Amino acid sequence: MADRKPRIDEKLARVAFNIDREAHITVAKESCPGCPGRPCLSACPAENYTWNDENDALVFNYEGCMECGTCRFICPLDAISWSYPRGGFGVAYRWG
Amino acid sequence: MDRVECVVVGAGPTGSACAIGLARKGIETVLVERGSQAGEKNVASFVLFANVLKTIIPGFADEAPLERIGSDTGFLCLRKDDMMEFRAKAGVYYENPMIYTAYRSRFDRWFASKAEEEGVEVVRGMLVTDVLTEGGRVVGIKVGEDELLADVVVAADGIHSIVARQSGLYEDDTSRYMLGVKEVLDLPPDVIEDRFGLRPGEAAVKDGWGYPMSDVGGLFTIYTNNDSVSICLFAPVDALKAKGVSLRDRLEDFKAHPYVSSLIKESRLREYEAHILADGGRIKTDRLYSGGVLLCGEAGGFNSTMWIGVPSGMLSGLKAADAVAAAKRLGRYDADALSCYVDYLYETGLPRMLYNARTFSDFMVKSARRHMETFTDNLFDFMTESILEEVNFFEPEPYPSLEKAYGMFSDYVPRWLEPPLRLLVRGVSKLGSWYKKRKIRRTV
Repeated sequence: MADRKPRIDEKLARVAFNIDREAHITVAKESCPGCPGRPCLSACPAENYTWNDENDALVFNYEGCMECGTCRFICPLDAISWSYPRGGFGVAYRWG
Repeated sequence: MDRVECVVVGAGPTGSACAIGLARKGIETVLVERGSQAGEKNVASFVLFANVLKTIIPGFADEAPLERIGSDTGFLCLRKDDMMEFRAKAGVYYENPMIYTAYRSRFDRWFASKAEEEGVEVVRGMLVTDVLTEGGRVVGIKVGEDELLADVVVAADGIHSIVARQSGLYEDDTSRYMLGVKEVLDLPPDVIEDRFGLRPGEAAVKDGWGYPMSDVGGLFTIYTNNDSVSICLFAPVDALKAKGVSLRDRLEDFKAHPYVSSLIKESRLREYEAHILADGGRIKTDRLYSGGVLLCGEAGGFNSTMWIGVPSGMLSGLKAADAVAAAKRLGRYDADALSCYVDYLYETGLPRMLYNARTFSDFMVKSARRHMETFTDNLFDFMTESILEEVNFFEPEPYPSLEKAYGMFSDYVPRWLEPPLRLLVRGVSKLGSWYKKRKIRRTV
């Protein structure tokens, strides 16, 4: 078993989200190319932060955020501003 | 503008316990929850101790949505292909349960509904975005554009507490923060009971350390619900930052470990979850309250991986309710009137417990995480080779276990003491070996 690591979107497909129109994450992306280590890419459990090599820029989506808030603590440049989504929106765990 | 006596922010176990305490004292209370249901944002990481719950709702066992009775507890230590377990199955806890497993999403929803039955107004789907202040004192909350005035605001809004931040009580010290990721895996109840060796309705609850987390000092838990198995992995946030560790990859490594995979094989993923927690709480007691505001639960730092956050959160919530009632008798809600909160806390075992938890957590941060790999290796060598040496007929000198046992703790010996101590251990080991051989020669 475990011949193949399941992709993160297969896992996130099992999680219910009430997606808001407004993003609850903002990133000052201009500082990202000079970031040491870019820990947000590896640390986010939902793999919401990815790197676009072509544009040499950070890509993130707030829709799949599981609201752990790790990114607000691990950004070495304090470029990530994370807050809770508006009331009633965001992740909705059924089996938490 | 509306006005109430008390607003409790966050309808987790802490907030609901506090609201129930307030309602029973006849204090008009509004409980504000950001999820569209209570518990929607919460993730259980291990067991639920019922010690405090029992004092709030004595008949909880008949009505609360609990899963199994946690009377089969174990400590696990893993290496890549190895497993070591210390397991206890207590008959008394199966007969008189004290520990349960539960889905927090269901438990918290039920507990908030109990607060509602006590007369608390529960407002769901509302995110408190700020506090209202007047003369350096908190006088209410803001929900977007709406404002609600209150004599006192109780913050039970978790680790990211907006109330605590906005009232200037919270400082992030990430050194004790742990990120946890969890998978809930479907398995039929009979398969679970068979595989884990459980009595009907009994839960296996195991926590442990080692592979695949020993390099970052992470921990893990495995526990069973009625028809699912929950596996959680925790890592210090600082290690994730410094080492670029991906907890989602480590979770896959964990699931592929021979022992873990034997427990969860042929299961199907039901839900994937993540949450952050602070290990070891806060004992700076002067920062648990201020004019018009009290912090309890995770917002006040009442959590630890050792002692579990739910009961300590509930108890802090109850004490906050007592403090509000005492302040009401005085007729004022300034910092001085609310400072009795700390006295009430000291009447319980919470400060001692949090002190212990914090001491342990600091030991983990400063020392144990660094040495976990060496410790684990030596522990395994000690356990496995102590068996081997009993049957090693080819070796006339089969007494290395003292040196292995010493190896487990050698990291903690001051550097200058290390060479003489190692020499001493080796000497004692050799001497013991010589003495035993002499004894054997005389007897056999």
